[in-house]
Amino acid sequence: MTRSNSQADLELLRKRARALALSLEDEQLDAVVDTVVVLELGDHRVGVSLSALDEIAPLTPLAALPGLPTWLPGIAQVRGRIISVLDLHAWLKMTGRTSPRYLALVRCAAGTMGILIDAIGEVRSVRAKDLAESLATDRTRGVRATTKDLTPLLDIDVLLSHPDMQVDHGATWDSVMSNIEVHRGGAGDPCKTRS
Amino acid sequence: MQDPVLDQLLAIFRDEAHEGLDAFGQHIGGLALSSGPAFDDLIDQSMRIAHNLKGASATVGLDDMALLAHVCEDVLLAMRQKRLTTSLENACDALARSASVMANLVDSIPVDATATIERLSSLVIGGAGGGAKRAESDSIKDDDPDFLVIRPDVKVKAEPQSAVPPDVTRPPGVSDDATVKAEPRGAGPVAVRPQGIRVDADRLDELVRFVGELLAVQAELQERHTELEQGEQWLHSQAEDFDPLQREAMRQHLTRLDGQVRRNRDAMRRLSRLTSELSEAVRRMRMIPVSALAATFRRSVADAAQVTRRDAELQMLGGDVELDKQVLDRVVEPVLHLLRNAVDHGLEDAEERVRKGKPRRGRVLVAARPDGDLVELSVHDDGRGIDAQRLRDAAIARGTRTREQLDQMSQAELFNLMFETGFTTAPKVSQISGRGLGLDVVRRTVEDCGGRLDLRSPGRLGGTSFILLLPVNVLSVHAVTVRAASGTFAFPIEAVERTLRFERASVREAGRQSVLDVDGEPLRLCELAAGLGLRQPQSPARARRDGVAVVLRRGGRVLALEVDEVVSDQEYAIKRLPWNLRSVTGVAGVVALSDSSVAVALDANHLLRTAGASAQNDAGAQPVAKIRVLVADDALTARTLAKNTLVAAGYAVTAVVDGAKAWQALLDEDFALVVSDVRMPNIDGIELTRRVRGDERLRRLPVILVTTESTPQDIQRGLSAGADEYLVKGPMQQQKLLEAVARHV
Repeated sequence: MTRSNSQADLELLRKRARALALSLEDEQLDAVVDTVVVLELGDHRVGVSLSALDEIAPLTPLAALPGLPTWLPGIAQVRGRIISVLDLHAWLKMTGRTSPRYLALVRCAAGTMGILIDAIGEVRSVRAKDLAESLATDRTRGVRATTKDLTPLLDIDVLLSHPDMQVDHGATWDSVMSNIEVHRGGAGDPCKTRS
Repeated sequence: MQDPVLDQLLAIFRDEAHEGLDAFGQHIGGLALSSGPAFDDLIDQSMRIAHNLKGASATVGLDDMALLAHVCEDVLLAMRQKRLTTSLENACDALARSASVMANLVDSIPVDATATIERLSSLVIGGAGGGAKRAESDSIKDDDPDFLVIRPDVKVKAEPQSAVPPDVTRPPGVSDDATVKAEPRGAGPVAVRPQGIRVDADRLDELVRFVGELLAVQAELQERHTELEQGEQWLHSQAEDFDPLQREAMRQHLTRLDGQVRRNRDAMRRLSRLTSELSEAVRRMRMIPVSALAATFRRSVADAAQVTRRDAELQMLGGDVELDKQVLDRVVEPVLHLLRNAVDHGLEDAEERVRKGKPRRGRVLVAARPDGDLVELSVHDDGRGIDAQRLRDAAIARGTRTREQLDQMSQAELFNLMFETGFTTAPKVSQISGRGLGLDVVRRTVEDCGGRLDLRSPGRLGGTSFILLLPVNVLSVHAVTVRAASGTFAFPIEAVERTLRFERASVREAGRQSVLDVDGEPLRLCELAAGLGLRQPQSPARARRDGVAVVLRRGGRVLALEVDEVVSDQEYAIKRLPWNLRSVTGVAGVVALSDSSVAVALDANHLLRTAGASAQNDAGAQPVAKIRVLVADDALTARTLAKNTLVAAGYAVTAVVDGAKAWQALLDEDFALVVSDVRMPNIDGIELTRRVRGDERLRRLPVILVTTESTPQDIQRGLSAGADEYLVKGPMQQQKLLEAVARHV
């Protein structure tokens, strides 16, 4: 074999190697990272994992509680359950105005919260290649990644367990309830008088 | 959990037994005078009553009565078959007397029925009650025609006149054939007895009430201790002003006091921990696993299967899940109703099921699982599910909905029709269902304990599923709800003294407080939203000439809260705040209102502490809440004198030794007025006054200069600097000081 031949062979081999390496990367980039529901907050959109989303409920009147931060506007009732409400727009310090009409109930191991949303967008599969690696995301505040079209994707577990989501002013349930003399059964029990 | 069902059975049994015995007595009375078909008819009716009484009394454990009733039956049969050993009159006599013995037994009056039984026995040729068995456990055989033993593993025998458990839809007092037959007491598979003792439910409730009161007293103790600590600190600060000799004498006393306060604090901490644990332990005591109701549920399904001649079995999942006894008690009846419905409406006949390719035996499943601070209790069947078309037809037939309306409805709304009063798709009224009184009562009962009832079809097993969401604990509170600034709030009734209307013109200002005179008592008036620290927009109610207020009074404190309107006064199921809001100051809990909104249950004590005032203040000239005055004088005696004078007059006084400290205090805190000497080290009174007048926040603060400098120039200097008054120290200076202060606060 002449020297130039082996050189050409090497070159060919290198080309092939490169071609094969590229397609593997493509596969990885093409893999679906998550199926995500897009939620609309004013002019902004965020993505929430479909698996973390319990339901979308129409917004019922909110009750504000004293001493809560702006991103915790209060509590609401969804079919008899008392749900803690999260103003994501305030939490992520987004600009513009919103007109919330629904609550997106999202769940983590510790519990459920209702995110104020204007509307629900599409459900989409997010692939690795859709993510903008270079954009800085505040992981600790619950944004795990951002897509190339600038949709932040939320990590519900991190978001809901953030210490600023918890409010504890120190009283125990017992000490507070002791201030309310409760009727436990007895003549005042509505069920007993009715049945 | 037999108690609630058994109690109910006993009550119903007593009513029915007495009614039956009355009728029995009448029939027997007519027997001796009748003949032919009328005679036979009376015998039949009497036998029927005796037969029912026999079964019913066996169920509730009145074995003697069951036997007595059995023997009566035999005597009546003998009467018809002419097998009496004595005359008809004698037999009727004996029967009448047995009826009164039975009446006594029903009322738990101890009588010996043996003699009566023997007497009756002797009236029949061949003896009566020969075939009867005492209604005691073990001697009941499976094929005994008189007793229906319902056990999970035993096939249930069909019997025409048979048992239907008391139905929530059945109007009380209806006497039909229905008696309750079930496992005679003591019968059944030998259960492994768990370690435990039976505790009367009422005693447990009593215990819970005591714990609640204990907690309330403990909370009050805690407040008294806090006041004690504050008093101790005040004493310490006073000691600063004493001259060295006095201070030394005080020191010993103060040290001893310190020790006492500290030991008290430790004891308070221990008490707090103990009551917390006690409360938790008592709460756990009231928790009962759902499996405690398993026997009751099984009985219900078996009975229903009996009556409808279907094949059905009950399964349970998640029996370990625990619920507060109160919740469980309230939920038993609704669930029993759903079970009966499942068998009657949900399941198909065996043949139909086989034709559909389903197993012959229908499945009814009760499943419990925890869901956050709720428990999901569901009833499923693998039957035919809900036929939406039949629902529609029924609604049209009843005239409650038009075809157009029905076409617009979603499936969920259609299903909701089932919960309307009187709604039924049953073709006929059966002993179990069809009267259409059931589901609305079921839903209301569930909602009354703070729960939710939903319906799914097809459900978990392919048929219908009823899903109850129940609170783990239910606390019901009698509360007053009010609307204030776009929210609804609830106060426990114990804290609310009254609600009233007032005229805005009659509110007076004292310092920075608003005061409303109610029945001669000056009350601090404060807006609810403001009192809570909630940022709320101005309510349009503020513009009106009169307003509405709620007066809270508790533990020596009183406060009038202005609200927009008083909404209601009733029992509410109060729930805890969601998981991430472990405790929010001033908030006791949450009430889910029926209009999908939420009422915030407030901690009245907290409001009273922060926004209220002690009710022990003197009325009249005194300001209701203490007005804060700053006194600056470098001379101890003068300073002490001014301070004591003002404190005695009801002001809250802070005393400092020079102008610089005075200025710092003004910057750090809020005062209503300054009383200052002129001659002081660091910054003098004149300079202090100038600074005050030059400060944006402080410039309107009243300044009274009290001094020995009395030349006209001094006075002029003081007033030009901006002092509101310039008092020269001299005779009557305390009185003059008080008058001056009163003029400017």
